[in-house]
Amino acid sequence: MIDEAVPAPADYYEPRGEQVAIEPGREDGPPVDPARVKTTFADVTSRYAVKDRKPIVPVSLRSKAGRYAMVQFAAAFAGYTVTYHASRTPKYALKVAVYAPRGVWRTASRAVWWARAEEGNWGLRQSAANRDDPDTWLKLDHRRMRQSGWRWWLLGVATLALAIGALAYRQAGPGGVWALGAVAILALARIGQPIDSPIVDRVFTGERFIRLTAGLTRQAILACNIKGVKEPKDIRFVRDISLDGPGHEALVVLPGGVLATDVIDERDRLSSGFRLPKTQVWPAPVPGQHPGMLSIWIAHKPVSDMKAPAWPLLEAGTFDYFTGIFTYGNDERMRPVPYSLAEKNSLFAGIPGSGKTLAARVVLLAAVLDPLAVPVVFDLKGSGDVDCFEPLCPDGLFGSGADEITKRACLASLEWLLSQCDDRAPLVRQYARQGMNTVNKVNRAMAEHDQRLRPLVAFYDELQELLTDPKHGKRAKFLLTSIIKRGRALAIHVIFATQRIDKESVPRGISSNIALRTCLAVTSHTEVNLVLGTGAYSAGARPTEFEPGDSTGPKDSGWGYQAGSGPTRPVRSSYVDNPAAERVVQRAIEMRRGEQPVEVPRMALRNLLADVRMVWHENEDALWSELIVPRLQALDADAYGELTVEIFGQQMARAGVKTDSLNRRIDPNGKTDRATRAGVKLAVLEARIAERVAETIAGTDLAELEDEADD
Amino acid sequence: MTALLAATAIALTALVYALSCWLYPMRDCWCCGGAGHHRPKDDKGRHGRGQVSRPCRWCRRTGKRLRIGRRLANTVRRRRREGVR
Repeated sequence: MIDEAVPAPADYYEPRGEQVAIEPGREDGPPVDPARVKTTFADVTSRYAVKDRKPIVPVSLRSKAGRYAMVQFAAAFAGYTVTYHASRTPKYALKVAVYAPRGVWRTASRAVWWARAEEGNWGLRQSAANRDDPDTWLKLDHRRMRQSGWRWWLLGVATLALAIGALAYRQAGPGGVWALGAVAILALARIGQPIDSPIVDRVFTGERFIRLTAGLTRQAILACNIKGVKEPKDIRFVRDISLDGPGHEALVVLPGGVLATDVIDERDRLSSGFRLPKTQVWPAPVPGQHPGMLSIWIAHKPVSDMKAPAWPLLEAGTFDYFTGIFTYGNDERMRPVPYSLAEKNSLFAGIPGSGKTLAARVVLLAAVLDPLAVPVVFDLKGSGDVDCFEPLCPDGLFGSGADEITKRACLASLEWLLSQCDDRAPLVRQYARQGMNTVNKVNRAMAEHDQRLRPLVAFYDELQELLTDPKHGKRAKFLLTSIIKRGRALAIHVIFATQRIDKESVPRGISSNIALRTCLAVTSHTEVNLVLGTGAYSAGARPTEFEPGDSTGPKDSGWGYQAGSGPTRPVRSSYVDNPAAERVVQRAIEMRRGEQPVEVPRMALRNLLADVRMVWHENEDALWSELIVPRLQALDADAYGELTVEIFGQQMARAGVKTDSLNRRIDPNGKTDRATRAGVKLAVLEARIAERVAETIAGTDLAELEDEADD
Repeated sequence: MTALLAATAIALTALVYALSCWLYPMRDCWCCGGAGHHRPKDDKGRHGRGQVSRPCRWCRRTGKRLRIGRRLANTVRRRRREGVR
């Protein structure tokens, strides 16, 4: 019954229309739940959708790697167990000799106990005797005697049959008798062994392998002490716990309001709940599902102890830069991780010992297995990890060392790459109009047709040495940012490895434009977010938990979180040591045998404007080109040896300085004649140099301002 | 030496008796001979027909009685139980 509506105060604005009074006890208002819909046949059948069916063949057995992992694990375990027990055979023999007589006594006493039907009767008779109750005792005894009558007969027959069988077995010969005796002794020893002192030792001292169960999973999650998870029944399972590769996976639905990342943050406690090392426990959010769904994968052993599969391209195979996908490494479940190069760039960041150089080198090795690819390699650490690539690199585009010459060469390579971006764009447009591609991007057809469009794979290790250099840093940052933004559609792939992870050495303008980012072992969440993107740490990426290798061993070297190729996940790069890398490079050289090597004019690697300024004398305000060219040739014969006045004019125009017609005095033999020839004015040259510096500063400062604004 | 042998013999005998009392706590009633009742006899010691038998009040018609050793053990155990409480 609805009470009358309470009248509003006089100054209250009354809405138009009928007022609906609230029933007493119905303060939450009228019902808003939708009407119940009758279940149809389609609703019932849709519950058994194909995607929800359990597979007939387990997922772990469908892949070659999964089958191999299972067989390998079983064989290794069997071999170890057999060896372990074989080495302890004398100890087992001694135990058998002691336990066998006990087994005889136990067997005989149990047989007599059974035959006397004392089970359940003995205690009651004793109790009757304690109470001085002969009536009950007598009844029980009579009952026992009735039961034991046939039992004694049966025991006698069985004993007789055993004796006859043993005598008959003697006919089988001494071998048969010994075998029967051994079986009998072992059986008696097994019967006679104490409960807490078994004959056979345990193979493992601790519970190294724990079978993942629902109870254990719930217990481990509760151990994380997460707000909102109070009781085991709060945790539900989506499906059965299943074998997945070299481990088991549990898919868990957490209570409302609890996120999967809440559990991931407590990985230490979760591992403690499972009583396993952290490298065996891998919680992760489930891609494509709500944030409260959690996947917990428990490895059979720590992943750092697992033998990773060999790199597939190690001994044979090629790669297509434009359409190919190669295996970079494997994830924690030993599944291959795909990697592609076209229209992307790569960033590898990690502290010393994290394995970033070898990880980045895997990408470069795959790239050079495309005969069209041209590598540009600079190792500013000078450790020699990439020295094997030198034969593949054009002259002037390889460097190894942290000295000033290598840094300048590295900077020159960046200048050249940027000039390639300028040169390639019109070619791509032209060939796309001719029908070689439907979009204005370099493809294989264009690269095969025109050598100038061959894919360039630029590898820079420890690039922070250049980016933080006071003299070259700003220019390098400007160039790299432009190349990364413009080069990917023009078949230029930059692989950039750095151990210093801060805004100065990995500016946002660079990291945010790189698609494939791998963060190896780092020390804090700031670095994780800087490399993988804002929010990566909160989303569950934890490269902070990886331990870098040192003199005691590789530990988690090579492990990192990778973003840009599917969901962000932990991956380990394939291990390719130096001899193996040299073999791969040798194959790449063989692939290129008979082809015209790529030559980069040395002049293209020089800073023409800076060189012209360098050869300018003090009291000259303008110079003819024909006077500048010999000076340049004297400066660097390799780069400018074939320079002519016409080419000089073209190159200067490209650099932004147009040559003008200059009317100057010639002073041969003391006579003053005048002539008009093409030349360069100092003021124009200096203005252009200043403009380029300002451009660099403006571009770099803008990026820094953007970084600060993002913070 | 003789005393030692005697003591050992007595101990062994006691042990065997205690074990037998544990295994077989009940024996036939010494009064009725395990029958549980008494039948009167005539002057010649024969059981006559039509004679009315009376139940044995010692064994309460069961024919079995608790052996002395077991009775002693029960008493000791009971006293200990009561003492502990």
